Amino acid sequence: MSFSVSEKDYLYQSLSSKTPIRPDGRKSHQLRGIEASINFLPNSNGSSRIRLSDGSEVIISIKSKVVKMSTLADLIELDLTIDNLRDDLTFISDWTNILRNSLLRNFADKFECLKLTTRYYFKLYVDVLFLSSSSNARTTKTDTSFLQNPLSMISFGIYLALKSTRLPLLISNSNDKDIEELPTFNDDWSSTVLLYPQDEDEEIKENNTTSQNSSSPPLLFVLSVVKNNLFIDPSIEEQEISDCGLVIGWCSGKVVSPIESLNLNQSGSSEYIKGMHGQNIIEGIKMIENVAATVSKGLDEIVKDGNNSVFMDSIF
Amino acid sequence: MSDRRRITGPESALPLVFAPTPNNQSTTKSPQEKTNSGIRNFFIKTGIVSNCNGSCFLEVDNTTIIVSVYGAKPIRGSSVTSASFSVMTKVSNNLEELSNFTSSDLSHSKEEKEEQKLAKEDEYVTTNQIGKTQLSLVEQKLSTYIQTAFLPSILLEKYPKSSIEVFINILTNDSHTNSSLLSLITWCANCTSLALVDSGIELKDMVSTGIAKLTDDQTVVIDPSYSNEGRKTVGGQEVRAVASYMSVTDTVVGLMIESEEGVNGEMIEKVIDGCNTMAREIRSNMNGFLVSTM
Repeated sequence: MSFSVSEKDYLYQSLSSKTPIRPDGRKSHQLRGIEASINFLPNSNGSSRIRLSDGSEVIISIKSKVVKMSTLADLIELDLTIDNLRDDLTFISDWTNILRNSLLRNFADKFECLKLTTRYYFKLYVDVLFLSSSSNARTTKTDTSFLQNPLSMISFGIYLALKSTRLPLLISNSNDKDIEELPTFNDDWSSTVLLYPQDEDEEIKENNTTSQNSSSPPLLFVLSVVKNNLFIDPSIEEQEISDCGLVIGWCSGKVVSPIESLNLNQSGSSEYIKGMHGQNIIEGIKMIENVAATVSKGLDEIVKDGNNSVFMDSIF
Repeated sequence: MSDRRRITGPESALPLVFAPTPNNQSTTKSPQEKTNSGIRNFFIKTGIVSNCNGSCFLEVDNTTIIVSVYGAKPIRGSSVTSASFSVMTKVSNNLEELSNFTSSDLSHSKEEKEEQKLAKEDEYVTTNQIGKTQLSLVEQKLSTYIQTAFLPSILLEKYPKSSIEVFINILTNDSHTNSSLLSLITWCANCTSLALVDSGIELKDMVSTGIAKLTDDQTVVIDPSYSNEGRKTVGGQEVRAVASYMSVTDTVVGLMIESEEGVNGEMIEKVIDGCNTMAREIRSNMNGFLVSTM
């Protein structure tokens, strides 16, 4: 952002005070409202699109392929494209790693749902396209000074896309231990199965709330630390002046790894980067524990609503 | 009464002490005594690379690391008010298996594995030939962590229009024993800290890094070594953490926590305390080393 020194200083002062005031008037544990839609790409197994009011947008497509088993870690491939930045920039591949690892670690049923037979598995290709609000202001392919950290937004998108992913129904024998057999599928799209089964009956849902909780894709939350205050889902201005960034994962009712410190300031100026206190980390985890369940519930509502574009106001 | 055949001094005599002979070995610190807190002995030596501004060599068990710091060097045609700081990591031997997701191998023979490995190497070579500076996953993670952790400590605004580059070279590492990425990060960070001091670049404070793990029975193990780290037991609740500290401001500048299961605030608090203990121990060791080399 092209804020002047005094503007940044004003922002820092107001965020570091005892009763912090965020520039957009949000509470410190309040996320930005998103507009989301799912299943709009006809050629992919699952897709989602999330837009923020500042104009940034993330589009995610999930495709599947039948592969012969090698290692479980190979079953998910994630590709991240940000505006038209070079894809070998360090921070882009770092974000890819964080997202991919969080998926691999917390995948539902330890990949049981991708298992077709004893030999064959589904492999998922997750393609992420992130369009930032400031892509026009950029001059070169390596200029990253206007980029906000998109991890949290992308993970919401992946959550929605995975929840809307449908995989073809296997009709051949699932046990091919003795006789090798190529898997065959039902070619009717209406008989496909959801990767993350949705509870159609409310009663079932009420009966086993724990099992329903156990299968959700992971979410990532980005926190910005300013002195003793923590802010969830920081806007680009807040990211720029924060002492330190923190990414915390959440899955199925629990805080999970990655829990890492982040450099939120892509522009490279380090005058505001100071580090955080140990207590901040604990507070951050508590904040996520309080907020995350609401977020995932909100995202589930979007999945239930289906194709309709839903505007989620700042309900979190 | 007394023994007259021997020339003995008076009872209060002190043994004769010679001044230490100055030689090149004086910069070398002998492996330190194992401390009670259970940090492994490590060997450090600074200033061993002659064509850079600062360097440090660190050895712990079978891991050897060289960090060299270049800078602050002027960059052409740029008028930025503070220096740019970049970190590059190179792992000399193949550490691909170190990727922090440990997958259980499902039914495939050794030959298949080797084939895959070969294919992977081929891939690596081809990407290199194109001229891309493609770092492996491990190298990537290491670089980012070190960069994030050291950004707050360097007074970059003192060096306008210049760049500071850190090259981390991991010469050897126990790839057989599945040493974790986290322990590698810890020692690389500590080595980088000393290399930066050696380079004379102005710092706010030295960064010291500690590693700890919280086991099933809620005990904190500081600096878990390869032997007791090993492969994680399936279903075992284990939290591993690396944290970097600047002790002047008492702040955490780098943090990475890994666990297979969910965690809560209490567990994190315990494991971070462990990291802090180790970081302080490391810091006092480094201080001692720096004083002895003055």
